[in-house]
Amino acid sequence: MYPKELKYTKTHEWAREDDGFITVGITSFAAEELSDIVYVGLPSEGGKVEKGSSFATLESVKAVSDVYSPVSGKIHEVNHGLQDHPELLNKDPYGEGWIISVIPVEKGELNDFMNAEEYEKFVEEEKGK
Amino acid sequence: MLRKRRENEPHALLFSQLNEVKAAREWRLIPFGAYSPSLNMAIDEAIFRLMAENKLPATLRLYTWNPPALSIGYFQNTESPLITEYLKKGYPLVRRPTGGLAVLHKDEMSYSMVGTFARDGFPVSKQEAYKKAHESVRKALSDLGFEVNLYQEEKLWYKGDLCSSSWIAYDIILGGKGKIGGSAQRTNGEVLLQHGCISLPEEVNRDCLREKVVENFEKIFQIKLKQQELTDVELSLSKKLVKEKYEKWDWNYKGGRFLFLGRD
Repeated sequence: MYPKELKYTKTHEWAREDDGFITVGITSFAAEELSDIVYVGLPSEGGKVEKGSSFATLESVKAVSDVYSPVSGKIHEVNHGLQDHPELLNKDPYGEGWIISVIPVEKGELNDFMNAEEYEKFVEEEKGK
Repeated sequence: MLRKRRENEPHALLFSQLNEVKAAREWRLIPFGAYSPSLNMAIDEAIFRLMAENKLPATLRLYTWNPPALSIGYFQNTESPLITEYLKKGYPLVRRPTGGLAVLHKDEMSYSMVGTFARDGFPVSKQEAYKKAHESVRKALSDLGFEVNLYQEEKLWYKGDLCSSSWIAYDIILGGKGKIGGSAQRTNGEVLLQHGCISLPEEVNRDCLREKVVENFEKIFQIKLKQQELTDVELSLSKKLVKEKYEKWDWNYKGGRFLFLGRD
């Protein structure tokens, strides 16, 4: 149900490592929970992100929510297309709905996060709460 | 002798257990006050931030605005003609940490509630929080003889940049007048800040309404509200947020869409 090649956080972000860059977005579960996302607040390229700190904000149905970075590092690229098309976060969260890519300070940081199977279990537990 | 025997009876034990449950579901009630637009937003954010760090008890605050002011949503664009019109009339503007649309805080009562999801009787979801808080206000107004309902349509009805002209499920509707109450939210996934505003019907007694709102929050959330002042830490963070954020042109006029300020 969740893409196997990605890693997942308890705050419902996904992360993927390609050639030293880490791409981050929100999971399909988060997107469904939020429902229609109408605004996205994005950081600037070249800025810093800190592991566990908010790097973007989303608004859906009058509620503003934070998106947290799984790693510390420098922001390499920002998906500016989301500003005009925030619906991409709902429609294609693992593809065109990616949010930022980061050059991480340390390598191997994603090893601590859940794989798809573990995340699926985690979501089921969350739903049961 | 009779009392002693009763204490040993099963129902007496149950009663004492119930008291423990009640104690666990105690929220703070911050005393009512009228504050500046920037301080009102700073206090709500300070409670929210410190709740996230320290797991404080859930908190309800009833307040109003002095001077009357226009608050706008986190992402709202200040270049809207409607917002410009209010600014020309001389209303100060403050951007909220929460979403939603512009609200004129005049002849109104505001509230904020902050808590950790599913803890101490705090709702498990944003939707439940919205519905229960509005039901508490609806019941308070109804107890005072007003004909009020909660909007029942699931679909958003949107007609402009003002909160009062955009209706969503559970908004507060006064018979013959339209929407008089709505709320907006901010969450970090664990803690929720929800604040909202009720435009007061002219004939309402404000003190009575506040009492009724407190009474109905207690009934509907099944909690006990205990009056407590803001802590020194909350007050000093509020003052800092006034200076560094809510009195700043960049925050108020540019805001979340154009300017991401990190963990604001």
